[in-house]
Amino acid sequence: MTIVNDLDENFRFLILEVTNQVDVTRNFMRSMDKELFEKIVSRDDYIDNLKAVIENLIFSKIYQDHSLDQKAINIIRAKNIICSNLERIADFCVNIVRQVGYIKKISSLKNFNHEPFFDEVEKCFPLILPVLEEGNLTKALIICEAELNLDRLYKYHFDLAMAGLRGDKTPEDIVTMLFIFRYLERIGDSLLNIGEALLYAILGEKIKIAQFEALRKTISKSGIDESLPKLRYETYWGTRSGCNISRIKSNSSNDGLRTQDGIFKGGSAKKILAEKKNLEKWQQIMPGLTPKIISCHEEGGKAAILVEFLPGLTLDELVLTCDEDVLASALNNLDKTFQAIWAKTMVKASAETDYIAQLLSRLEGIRAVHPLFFKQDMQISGKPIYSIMELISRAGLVEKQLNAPFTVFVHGDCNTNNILLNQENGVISFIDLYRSRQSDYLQDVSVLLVSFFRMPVFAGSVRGRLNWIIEHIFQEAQAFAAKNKDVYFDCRLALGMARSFITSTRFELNVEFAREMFMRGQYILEKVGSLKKEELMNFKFPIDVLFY
Amino acid sequence: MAEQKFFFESFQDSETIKSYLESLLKGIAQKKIILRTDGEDITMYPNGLLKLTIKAKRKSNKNRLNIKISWTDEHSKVVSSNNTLDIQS
Repeated sequence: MTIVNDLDENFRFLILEVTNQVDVTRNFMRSMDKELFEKIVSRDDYIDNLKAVIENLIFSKIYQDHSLDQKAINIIRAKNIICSNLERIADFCVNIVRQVGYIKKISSLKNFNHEPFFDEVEKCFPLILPVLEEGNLTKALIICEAELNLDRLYKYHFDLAMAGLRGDKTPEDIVTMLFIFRYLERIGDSLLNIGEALLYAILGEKIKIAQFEALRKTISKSGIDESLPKLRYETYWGTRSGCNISRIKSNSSNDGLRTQDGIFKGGSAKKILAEKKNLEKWQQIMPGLTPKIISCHEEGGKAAILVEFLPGLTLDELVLTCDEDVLASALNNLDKTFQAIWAKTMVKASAETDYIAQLLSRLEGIRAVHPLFFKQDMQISGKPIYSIMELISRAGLVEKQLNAPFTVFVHGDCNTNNILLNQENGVISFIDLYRSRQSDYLQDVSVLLVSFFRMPVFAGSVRGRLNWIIEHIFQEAQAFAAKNKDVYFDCRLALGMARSFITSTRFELNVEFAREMFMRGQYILEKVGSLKKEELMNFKFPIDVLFY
Repeated sequence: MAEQKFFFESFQDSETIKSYLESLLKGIAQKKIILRTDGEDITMYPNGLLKLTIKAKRKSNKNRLNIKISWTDEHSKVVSSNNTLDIQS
């Protein structure tokens, strides 16, 4: 068998070979013909080789052909995924025919019907090339749906097998048959990978079918008059909130359509619905501060939301790229925004804080990344050095004596990348608001301070700029505290800062810098934890810990 | 500012070491330590956030105890930036 040196042709061959392999497997299941068995097993080597050839061609094309545009690269990458999964399907065929050899009495299995499984699998293969050539989304979805149909068939036969096992005289055959159906069900998983690769080729971004369905339903509810292939879909990687976040752009060039740009978020219903509720509340508090909701969709524990895309730079981008006057003006607007929110939402009733509880709930995550930071109690010539757990426990006792004198509606995840400045009009916006709630204003202040501190710029004028911003935010918060007679400001800020310094280390893989933050948190806990009740009011926050 | 260095190494008994450490302790309490070498003074101001590192090592009959205190004097706090970045991850 000769293998030609052309990617498209080999890819076409592979689809044909695997289609044929599945078809012969089906025939073997019908006839138990030994010749077919040998044909399937020997054909598998050829398919393996073909896959290796295609992989080589794909990698050399991506590295050597510099004329490829992004769309062409996406299609080649999709082909690579499809190729691996086709080869896996062929392997499953071999596994299936080998299992058949263990069946002793085929007549006892007449209730089990493999035909609908094969119908489902075989209808997918002829769709692959047309989807790649025409970008036909409907056909791609048919391939994805095959997995669901195969799962249903498997469930039906699984139940049948369980019932059969209870009274059957040939349980071995039923178990073997179940193995066969299990392989057919796994072919469904591979088909789903193929379908998702095809969605990737069409949409230009990696997307899971569940995410795609949520997107389709949310867009359809939004009233946006665009078919999905015409929308540009950009995944924002690296989110820590456990949600998938993507930007949806209209590809149309008409004026005004930019207002249809949106941010699509999919994830657990709990988080998404919390964000929806908070966005609605923020719209009442300060219209325009947060994105408007375009549509929301909930189904089976999952939810998706499409919100307005707000233009602007995040605060961390501003620090790195903007002139000093733009940055100073942005900080000024940020001060005004916080002052306005705090004034408008202030509830003058004292409330417990939960900084230590927040720290404790993230401790295992920190330990997983930095186990060496967690030392036991030590001593130097009799002087005790407390472990982090002991320090946290002592600070926890102090926190119980320190209610916040009032609460405000807080952002709840006030990191630099969740605050935007629109440079055209100077407006500040908040995004990513599923943790918003009525709480201590120092929750947001401490998270924001550490968020600036942990930017990975360790020297030079940018660090000087970060120190300047940190000092400015601290002074603004301090002035607000004084104005509102918040006598435990220093102590609560210390607890919030300790919490944020220590919990931030779980995202910091630069061990030296992570240790720096951890030790700062430890230092603050040591200071606060040693305070007696009568000392709380006079405690001064050790501001030096804020500067690097 | 040009780099300034002080280096001192000697054999001592524990009583004399105690007197050196007490002298250093006095400087730390006053937040000012003056070290003189070759007629030149190095004045250090241990103030604000200081990092203390204590390392001990014992192998067969050899012992070592290192005490290190390090800090940054005044942190630069300026809004202007010439945008020269030193980003590490």
